[in-house]
Amino acid sequence: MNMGKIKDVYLRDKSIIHVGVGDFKISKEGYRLKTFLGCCLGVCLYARNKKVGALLHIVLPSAPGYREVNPAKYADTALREVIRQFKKKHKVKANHLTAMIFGGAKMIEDHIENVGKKNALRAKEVLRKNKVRILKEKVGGKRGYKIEFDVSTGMVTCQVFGQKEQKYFMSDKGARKSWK
Amino acid sequence: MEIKKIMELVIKQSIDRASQSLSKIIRTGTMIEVEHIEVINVSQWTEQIMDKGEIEMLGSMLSLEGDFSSKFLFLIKVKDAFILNDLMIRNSPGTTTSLDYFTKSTIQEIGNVLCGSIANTFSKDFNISMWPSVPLLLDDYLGSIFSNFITEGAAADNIIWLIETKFLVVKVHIECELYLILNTENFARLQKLLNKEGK
Repeated sequence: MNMGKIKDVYLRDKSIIHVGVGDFKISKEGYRLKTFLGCCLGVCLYARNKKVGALLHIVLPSAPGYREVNPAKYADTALREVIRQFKKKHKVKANHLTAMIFGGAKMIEDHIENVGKKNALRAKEVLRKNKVRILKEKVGGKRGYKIEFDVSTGMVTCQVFGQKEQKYFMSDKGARKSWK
Repeated sequence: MEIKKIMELVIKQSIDRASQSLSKIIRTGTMIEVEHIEVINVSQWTEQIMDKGEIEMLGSMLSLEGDFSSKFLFLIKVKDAFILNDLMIRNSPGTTTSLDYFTKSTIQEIGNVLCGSIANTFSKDFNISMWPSVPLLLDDYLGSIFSNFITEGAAADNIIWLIETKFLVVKVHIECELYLILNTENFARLQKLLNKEGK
């Protein structure tokens, strides 16, 4: 029997929910949503009163209309779907949500096209259209991002590779200054 | 023969050749094993990767262009890359202690050699043209490297063919990983090619 594997299972923090590439997760308090971003975009959405949060890992800006796609992969369809689920399952209107945007790094310098930037632009467009307040935007650079969103407190921890960890709070007041 | 079995054979053969090329370069025996050849759901699979996403890794990413385009990623932990660099430039293991230009070049070059061996086997066995691009070096969180790799290789696909291999540099016990993404469209094209050959 592999003891390393058993140890690994017990040490794993069950309150952490990992979000894969081209996916989103919505959670109630008691959980932390976590992902790693390269050129993809991470969007945190939070309903403060109900303590429900979502983390999206967006790959591309707009879904092609000509074929069936995974809606979670595209900024426009993913955000619309998450906002719809907030409304339907948690009775939260879009204008009661707050958002933070991270990621969109240009890890490969040779690329002419900046997908990360396009993703951010499209995401902001959709959020503004739905009257979701954007409290923080940390987009670009050349290094990956680690994002951890604590749904209980509304605190988002963002760490760009090789830099210090920064904490942001999902409320108008707290968003103006980062937590120490 | 079932397409998956044919793929397994070709991949194993190409991995053997890659292993031989690497052994020659670093003058140390390497053993590469194919872990999985399977169709995966990108979101589900990367969710598992994110669990250990915080490790700092070095990756050499290449595109295989031509009749059968795909993405290739060679991954190694930074401290293991130092040892691989020492073997490559004939220093005793433990000499390299920082991530310098030589180490980065070593990882890029090894990615190039391994990808070239795979491309050679595929193009010979399937009689198709394939050539690797210039290797790109990624030094980042494991999770971020994978996020980029998936975006590059399968931005629009949710289901892909993934070939995962692990290899061991025998004398110094370094573990590295090697991934190849084939999109389903290309896989179907390959299947057609094989059917033609069979006739």
